[in-house]
Amino acid sequence: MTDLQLPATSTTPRVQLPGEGVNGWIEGNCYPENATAFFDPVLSWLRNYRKDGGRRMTLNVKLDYFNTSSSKCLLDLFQLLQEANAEGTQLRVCWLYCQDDPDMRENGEEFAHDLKLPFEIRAY
Amino acid sequence: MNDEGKEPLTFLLRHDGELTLEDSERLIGEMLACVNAGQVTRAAFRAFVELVQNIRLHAAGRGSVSVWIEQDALMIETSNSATDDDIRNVSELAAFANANADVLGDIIRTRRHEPGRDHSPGAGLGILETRRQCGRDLQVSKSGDHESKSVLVIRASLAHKSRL
Repeated sequence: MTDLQLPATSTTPRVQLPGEGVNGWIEGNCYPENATAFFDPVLSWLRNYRKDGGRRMTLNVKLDYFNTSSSKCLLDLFQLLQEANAEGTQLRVCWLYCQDDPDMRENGEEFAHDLKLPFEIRAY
Repeated sequence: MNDEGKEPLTFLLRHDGELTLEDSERLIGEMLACVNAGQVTRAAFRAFVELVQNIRLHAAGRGSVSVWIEQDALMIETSNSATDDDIRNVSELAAFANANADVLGDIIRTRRHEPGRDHSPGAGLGILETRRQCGRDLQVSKSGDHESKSVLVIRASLAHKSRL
């Protein structure tokens, strides 16, 4: 399985999902006007990863800001990981937030509360 | 001081007329620069993004946005053409958000799971999040009295960083 690499733009984060490795990254700002269009290839890649028997990955999510439409897409993404785990994969999320940004910590806690997915929340 | 004895408004950002995608991204970038320079809070930035994108998504970019400092507050105001139905929907949503400010986090979390609706693809999350970030009531009003030319005005007020 090939990697997915999307470069960061002024409104979208860098995405690095490894076909073989164990650490994926979504990093930067995330407030595209059309969040669905941005997240479609990410969700599509993850569906294929699941189908191809991807077994173990930590998705590191290190966002400075995201808009509400992206929050819905992030939830879809996390739910996809959750569904894959129900089939035996070992996918987990590491939510990294700036230590002086309590809103981002709270956002991570909200996602963690709503998901049955290993979800670590860590300050940097 | 102006003629009325009031301090003149200090505009941080202002854009009138057509709001293209490029305009929107430029304004958001300028607001982010204000955050990085310590002029405004992250909360103000988050509210600003939602309100600017609201114009783009719901009024096809036909609207204006202003950000200014007034006494102890940072004000963000958007205005855009809208139908009376849209104005009523936004007014009701803002009133709901204002009345449930203490539990907005739970409401937003629940609504995140809901599909979008025809008149509100984001299930109203943008307005709810704006209210949450402001910590103060949103003001929604209508100007113009002809149905096809009504203008929706949303005003958000946040504590200004230099006086927090």
